[in-house]
Amino acid sequence: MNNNKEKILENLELFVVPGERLGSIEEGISEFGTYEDEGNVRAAYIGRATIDKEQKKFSVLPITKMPIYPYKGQSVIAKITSVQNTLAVAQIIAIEGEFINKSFTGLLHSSRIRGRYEKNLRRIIKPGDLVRCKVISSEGTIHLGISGNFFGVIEANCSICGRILKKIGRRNQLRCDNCGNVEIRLLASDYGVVKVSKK
Amino acid sequence: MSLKKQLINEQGIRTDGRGIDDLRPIKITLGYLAHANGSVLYEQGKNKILAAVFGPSEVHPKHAELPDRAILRVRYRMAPFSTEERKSPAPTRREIELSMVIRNALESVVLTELFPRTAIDIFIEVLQADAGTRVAGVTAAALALADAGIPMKGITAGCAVGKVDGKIVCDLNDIEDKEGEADMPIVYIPTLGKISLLQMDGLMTQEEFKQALSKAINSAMKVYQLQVNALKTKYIKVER
Repeated sequence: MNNNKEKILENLELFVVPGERLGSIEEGISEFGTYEDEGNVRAAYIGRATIDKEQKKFSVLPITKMPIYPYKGQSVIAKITSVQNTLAVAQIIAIEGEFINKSFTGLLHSSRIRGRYEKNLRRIIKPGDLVRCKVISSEGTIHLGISGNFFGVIEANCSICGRILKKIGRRNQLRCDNCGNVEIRLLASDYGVVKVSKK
Repeated sequence: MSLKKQLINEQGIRTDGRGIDDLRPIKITLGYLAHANGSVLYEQGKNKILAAVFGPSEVHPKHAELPDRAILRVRYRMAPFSTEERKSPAPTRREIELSMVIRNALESVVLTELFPRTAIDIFIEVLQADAGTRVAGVTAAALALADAGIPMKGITAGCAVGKVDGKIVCDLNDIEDKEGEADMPIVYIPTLGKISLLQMDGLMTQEEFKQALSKAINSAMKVYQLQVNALKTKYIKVER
C-alpha cells in the first residue's frame, strides 16, 4: 500500500505533450485534459499528468496558459444588447474579472434568473446594463444565469437621460440624480460599490 | 548532360555539405511574439517561419460558424523579402491553396469539438524561404497551437523527402527542390503513427516511394524529438 502511494506521487511529476499515451481505457477513465483514441487514453495539453491507479483516472493539468473562453461555472460580466419577454442577449466582456479583447455572445433566459418568475424580462433588465452572470453551459451556445445575490446588474444607465443610476434604500430600486427618474433592476449585492472600467 | 549540375558527389555529400539522410539544423524559439496567444519562430537551415495562434474567438460572419466544433482559419503567406527576387505581397494561388492544405493537415489534430461556434486563427508567415516551407509551416503551427494551450490529439511534425540524382534524400534545399526529380512533403503525427499530409511532385517508382515514405517518417521523428525538447525546456523552466 505504501509502495503504491509512492508510485502515484512519482507519476504526478510526469511531463506530457499532446498525444502522449497515458494508458489504455481498461486502466482508467479519461478525465480533464485527456482524450480517448483507439482504446488508449492520451494527453491533450502540455502539462503534468496524474495517473490515479486507485481511483482509475487519468488527467492532465495544463501548464500552458489556457485559451480565453467562458467555461462552465465561471463568473462573467456581460453587456445586455437586446431583451425580449423571456430571453436577453448579452456580450461577455470580462471573464473572472479580466477584460477580454474579443467578446462572446451569451443568452440569458428568464428561467435562469433568481427570485420570482418574471413574466417580462424587460422590467428588470434593460439594454446597456452590465450584468454579472454565471456560465451555465458553454457546449454550443453559451447560456448565462443569475443565481445568487452576488450576481445581477452591476451598472445601469437612466432610460431618460443616460446618466448612471444610483441605488436607493429599497431593494432593486435605482434613481437618477439628474432627472429624478426611478427605475427597477435585478441588482447584484454590490451595485454602486464595484467600478467597471475598460482598459 | 554536362549542363546539369551534380547535386550529390561520389562520397554522398550534398551541395550544402549534408549527407543523404541529414536534416538542416533546426532552431525553435517558443513564445516569440508578445500579443499572440501562442507563437513560435521556427528556423530550419535558411527557412525562417513565424507562426502565431489567436483564439478561440467568436466567428464573424456568423454563417461561417459550425454548431458542433470550432473552425480553423489558416493564413499562409510569404513575405515580399522571403525569396531571391521580390515576391508580390498579394496572395497568390499557391499561398491560398497551401493555406487550405495546412488547414486540412491541422484539423485532424486539433480537438475542435471542445470549442463549438468559435474560430481558431493560425498565421504562418514565411520570412525566408528555402524549400519545404509548407511542412515547416505545419511543424511551427503545431507548436504554436500547443503553446496557446489549445487541446490537441498530437503534435504534427513535417519533413520533405525527394529524389535527387537518382537517390532518395531527406529535407531538400532550394536547388535540390528545383533541379531534383521528385519532391514529397509529409506531415506525420508521431504519437498516433498517422500521416496527416502527403503530397508529391515529380516521378518515383513504387519501390522508391516506399523508401521515401520510411525515410520521411524517420526524419519526422527527428523533428518531433526537437519539438518535444523545445517544449520541455520552455515549460519546465517556467515551472521552477
